[in-house]
Amino acid sequence: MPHFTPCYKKPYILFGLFICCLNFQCISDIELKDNFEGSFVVVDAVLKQSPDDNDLDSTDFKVKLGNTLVNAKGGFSYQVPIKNEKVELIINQNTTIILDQTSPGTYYLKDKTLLKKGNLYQLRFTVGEKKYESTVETMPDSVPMSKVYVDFNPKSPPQAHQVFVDVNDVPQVKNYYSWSYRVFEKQEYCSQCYAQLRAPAVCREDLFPVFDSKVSVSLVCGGNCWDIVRNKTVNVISDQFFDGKLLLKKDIGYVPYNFYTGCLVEVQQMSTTGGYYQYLQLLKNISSGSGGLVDTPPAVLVGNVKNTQNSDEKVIGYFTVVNTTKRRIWIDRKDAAAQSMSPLSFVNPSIAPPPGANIPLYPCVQSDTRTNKMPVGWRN
Amino acid sequence: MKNTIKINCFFIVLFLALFSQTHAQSFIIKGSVKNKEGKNIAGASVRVDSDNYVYETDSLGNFIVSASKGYHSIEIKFLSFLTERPFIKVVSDTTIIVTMTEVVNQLEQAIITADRTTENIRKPVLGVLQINNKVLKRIPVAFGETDLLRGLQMLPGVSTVGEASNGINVRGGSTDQNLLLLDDTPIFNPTHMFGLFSVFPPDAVNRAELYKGNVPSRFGGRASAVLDVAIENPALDSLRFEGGISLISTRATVNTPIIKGKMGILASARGSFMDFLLPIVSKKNFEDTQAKFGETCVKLSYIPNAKNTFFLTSYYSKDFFQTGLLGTIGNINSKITQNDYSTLNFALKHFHTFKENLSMSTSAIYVDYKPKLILPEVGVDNKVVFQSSVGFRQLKSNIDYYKKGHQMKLGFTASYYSISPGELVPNKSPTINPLTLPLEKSLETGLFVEDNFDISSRISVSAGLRYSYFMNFGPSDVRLYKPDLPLSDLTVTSIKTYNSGEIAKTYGGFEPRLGLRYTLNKSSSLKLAYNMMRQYIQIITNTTTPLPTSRWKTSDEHIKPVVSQALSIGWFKNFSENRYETTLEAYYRATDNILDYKQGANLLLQPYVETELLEGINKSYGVEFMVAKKKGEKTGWLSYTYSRSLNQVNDGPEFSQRINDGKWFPANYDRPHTLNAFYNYNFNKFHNFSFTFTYSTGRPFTSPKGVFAYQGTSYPFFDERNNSRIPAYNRLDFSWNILTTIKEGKRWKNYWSVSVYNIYGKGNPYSIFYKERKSYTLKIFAVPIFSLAYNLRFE
Repeated sequence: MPHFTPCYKKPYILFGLFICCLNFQCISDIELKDNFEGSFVVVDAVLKQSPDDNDLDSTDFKVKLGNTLVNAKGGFSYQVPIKNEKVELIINQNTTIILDQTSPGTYYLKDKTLLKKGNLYQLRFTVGEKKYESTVETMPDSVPMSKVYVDFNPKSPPQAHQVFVDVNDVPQVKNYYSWSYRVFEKQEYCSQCYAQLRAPAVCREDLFPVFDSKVSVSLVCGGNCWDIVRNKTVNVISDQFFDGKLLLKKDIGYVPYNFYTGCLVEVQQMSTTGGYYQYLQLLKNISSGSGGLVDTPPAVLVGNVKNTQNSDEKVIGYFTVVNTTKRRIWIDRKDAAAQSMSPLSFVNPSIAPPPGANIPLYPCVQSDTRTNKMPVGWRN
Repeated sequence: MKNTIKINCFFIVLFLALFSQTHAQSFIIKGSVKNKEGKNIAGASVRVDSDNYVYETDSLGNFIVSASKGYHSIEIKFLSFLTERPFIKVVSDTTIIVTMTEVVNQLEQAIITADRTTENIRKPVLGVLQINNKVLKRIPVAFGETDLLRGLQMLPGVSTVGEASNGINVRGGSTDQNLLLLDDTPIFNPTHMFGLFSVFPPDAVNRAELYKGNVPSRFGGRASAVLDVAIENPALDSLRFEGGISLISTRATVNTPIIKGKMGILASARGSFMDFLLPIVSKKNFEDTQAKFGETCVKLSYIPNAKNTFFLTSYYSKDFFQTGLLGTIGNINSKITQNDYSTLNFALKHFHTFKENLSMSTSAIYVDYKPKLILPEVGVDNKVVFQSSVGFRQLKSNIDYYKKGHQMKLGFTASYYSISPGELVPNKSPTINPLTLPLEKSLETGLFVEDNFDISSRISVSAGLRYSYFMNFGPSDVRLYKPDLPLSDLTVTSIKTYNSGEIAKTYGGFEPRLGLRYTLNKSSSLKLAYNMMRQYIQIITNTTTPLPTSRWKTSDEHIKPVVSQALSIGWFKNFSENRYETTLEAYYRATDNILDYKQGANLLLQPYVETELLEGINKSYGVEFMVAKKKGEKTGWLSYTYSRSLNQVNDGPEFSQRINDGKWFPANYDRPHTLNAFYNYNFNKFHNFSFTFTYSTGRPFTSPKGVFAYQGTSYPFFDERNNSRIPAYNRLDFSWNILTTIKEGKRWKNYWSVSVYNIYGKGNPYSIFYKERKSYTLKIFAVPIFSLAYNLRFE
């Protein structure tokens, strides 16, 4: 059972007690206690195609296989890669392509030209003696975004630029859309030395002879460096109510007002299959909470992959193919500055190094959240 | 996997056999029971010569009993009135008029409100709860609003999923399995403000009866229980007024004769418009919030002559709730959601007496329920509207016949449904397509007969048989699917088109009802009841509690009627000269064709909703114990219920056709242990105190088994539905009624009601939910809620 902590109680007064039940909602964090011993196969496989090759990168042709293991005694859950297995992509039910393992549990489709709209794709793989296969997915056609734009909203917590898209929906076709975005923020400082911890390793005492105060010191990047922030929410819609019409001002997320300087937003729109749309809806429901007054109970996140020898085995995740388009937009943040708003700032760059300190530069380490390559569309 | 439904010939044979019982010749005593103002008293109990069988006055206050030649004592009792015992000589058929005296002091009334001495022992019905307005007004409630549904929750066998619940669950049934009647008109949405307050007008309700075990055969159309709420009959002799104001609402009721002795009218209204105070409380939280509700009820009675009486009842209920917290739908560019829903009911009733032992009652019912979800678009003067409606028209008639100890009822019902399942109205929006789902039309008919009689001095019977027949009409396009595969767009084989008025699907069957009472001695009895009920309309919703906008759906080619069979047994014992009343009941109920939902079901404007549904079965069982003290300055009750409600959904071999691998799992409202206590203390003529305490096992919820990563984000992984329970619920409430004027002869009376709901501020979780690796509890009414109400009465 979950462990409960006391709930914060608001001192409502007489008239405030009346009416809105939502005002009496009290939400308190409780720690998730995993209570299950066992494992589930997890399939994370969304292969992408785009009319513009520049809109794709290597992460768009990967199939990740893992085992979610849950340790009942330890009370935690972790995911381990499923390594060295045979992973196949079946195209149009007659051509079999074997995917290469590029890192443990990650299998890669080398020839990205094999992904074409209208083609049928199916994933097959083994885990030991067990054989798994997905349903057959059809690559949808892509639909371009007609416009991407932002509005600064000083009220939304936190103060941020809201990102919107307009899309002209194709009539007489069932279309399902999903959006993701990445925000590139150029970084002057790549790390910090903390007064008490002295981490990371470069924060040696001999480099900081006067570093005994309680302040922290920011470390300047050793070259160009951009932080990458991704959306964490699932943004999905079907054209059930706007078939053939303009999807206007679809709110897909926000860019927090972190710095005075500008940033780049890269919006990716995915045209998906109906089955994957439904799966994304499940993820959306779960990630946005499933316990409110009007929420539906959470669903089992079993997707379209199953064990061919044991259909009762629950396989988590989804294999699909999507057609994507990308648009990039530069936000100069002058509108925010004009309102005399102060940026929120991810890393506090204002702390000057103490006098006499021999501050080393900190390298820009490549990762999912950081890059030293100038993103397409960046403005200096 | 199906519960086998068998129409047991035993019941039909027994029923016919019971009808053939013969008795010795006797004379008829026809009585009329009124109060001092000449107003008819319906529901009074009538007993002849301390006989075992207790009769009841009908809605006009009339009764018919038989007696042999000679002297007889007629005992007449009714809540809040002094018992009358006229002694009469019978030499032929006789007519009497009994005038009852009401207890003057309003606070004293509460002492005897639940007193229907020994009736619980004598009646051959099981699982019937009665509650009247005066008891309801003693039960402390949130914000001081007298609330029928919350009052019923204090009784055994009645539960909900939580504080904000749009309906009640009775003996393991879902909320839509209860037939809720307000003066014979069905209520499709029983609460205001998403479950915070019930829609029954607090000052106009006379009494409510909840049939949870033995349901008379005149009721049909729902599988679990019947809540029969009666509006007070109009006064024919003198003016009455009642009103009050609380933190939530303002209300007023006028009850007055129009033509003295012939025509009267009752008009009652309640409205809540206090939401203008919300921004004062918290501008940040309530800037976009509006919350208004109200209902009005008008009842007109007309008695042109001794043989005919007419009633016309109208009821209108309206809610408007606006919030910026619920988000938008689809591509509609809106930040505010407005829930606007209304109910309009009419009932026209005619009573006709053919002769002293034969009368007929005929009713025409009209109901329109219209929920709307309105989304104002940002930056433009336009509102996009999702709307639906339930139209219900009913004609019913029954004959009441009394002969040779048999009290019989024979009749029919014909109910016509016209349901608009959904319509999207974009109005001026250029980016939204209009969408209208076709009307669903159907007719449900029923024939019924029931009889109450004694077999011997110890055995009494209440037997009934109903036959219901349902027809689903075109125009409609009915999809046919590949057998044994999940119903989906991919498994459609053909579409069959039905023209307007053409019958697309029929269902029907017998519904036997039986109640038996065996008297052990003067103070105790054993009872047995069996019920079969068929339900042809259900709510389609996959939220924990139905929303006002949830879709109602009648049975069709793919959605079968719910069929429920219930068996219950009870022991009834009174102590200390009927000062204490105890009941012990046990029941088992099996229900077929309950609805559940596929994962990620999209029910909004879904033209082929069967593709989103799964069919299953339910089994519910439990034991209910109650002890009540019904006389004296200190009254109250204590009840304990052990109950289970389990579902099984195994609709096919595919994973998507099953829930929890086809195993039994607890229903959302499965709460095994419930303890309720109500204590009422009449300190003196001016002060009355009441306490309620409730404890129940937490309801089930679905907790995750782990976390997994997908597309760069962590998500909790859920495996089995309802595999955990939220912590147990408990709450203590208090109310204090202060009568400020109490002078004999004065017609104005007023009193204050002070109440504290959730005295110790227990933060009972309503639900628990998860985001990534964290979980959250949602609590409603997590603080003590103080309220004050002022009430005024003129009579």
